[in-house]
Amino acid sequence: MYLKGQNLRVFIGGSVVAEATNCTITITGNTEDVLTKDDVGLFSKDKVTSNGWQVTVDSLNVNDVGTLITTMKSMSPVTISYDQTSTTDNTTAQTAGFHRSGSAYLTDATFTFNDREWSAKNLQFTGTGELN
Amino acid sequence: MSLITDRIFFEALKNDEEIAALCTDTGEAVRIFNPAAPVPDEDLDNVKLPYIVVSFDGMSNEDGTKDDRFEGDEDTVSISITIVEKTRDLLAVLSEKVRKVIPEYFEALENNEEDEELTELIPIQYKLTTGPVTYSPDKPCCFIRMNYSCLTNA
Repeated sequence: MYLKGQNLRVFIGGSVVAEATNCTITITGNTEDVLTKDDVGLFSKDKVTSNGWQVTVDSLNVNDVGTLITTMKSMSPVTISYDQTSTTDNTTAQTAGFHRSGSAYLTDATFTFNDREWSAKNLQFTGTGELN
Repeated sequence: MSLITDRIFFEALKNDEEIAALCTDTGEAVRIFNPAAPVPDEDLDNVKLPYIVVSFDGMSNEDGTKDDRFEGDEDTVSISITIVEKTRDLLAVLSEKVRKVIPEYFEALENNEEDEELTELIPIQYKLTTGPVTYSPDKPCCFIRMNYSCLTNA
């Protein structure tokens, strides 16, 4: 079954990011090279030692610029989740198969105000701890 | 409301005294038409000059956000104003007047706030382009088409 991108939404503290256009979820395995003199050949021998995750979201709603700057300055994590929403109500989390949540820091907030274009924001959250 | 955006362009031209005076003769109706000149195509050469035609050339809905189920909140609407005059010089004068009157009318309407229904038709923004100046030896006449690509509320 195919999922339309429209129905995968990001939530900050339980509230959907309004007027979102795009979102991306990245999970990374951080590796270390554990090659030793016992290993022959020219290839590295990477081992995953930790996992990390990031969530980015773009939105045309810039009404919360002040709140987001405060969040960033506080250097405190927020609860981030992403979830599938139904086709009829596209703002309520379904707590379905796609549902995940965790604590994350707002590590990048970019606001653009271009002449004759809709103002927009891009937010990047970097996870701290597990993505449940 | 974007499907009747041409109406506000038509009102802008009709309500300008200079343009209306140029496009009429004593005792006759003003020759500013919407959506087309009220004659068959084969009789267009018999329409007195100058005349102006305001037409609605199409619309497409803009992509919205994830909050929108089917349609975005804005449309891109194409409006054209075709100006037909006797000579190139007269065409230049009338088309410059038309160009000036459109934004002036929109701003005056926004500041006036009298006609709410009409004010709602004002585009959020527009981009103006024109086609070439064309000469038709059959009539004879010169004409130009001014194309307004308007961003409007859906």
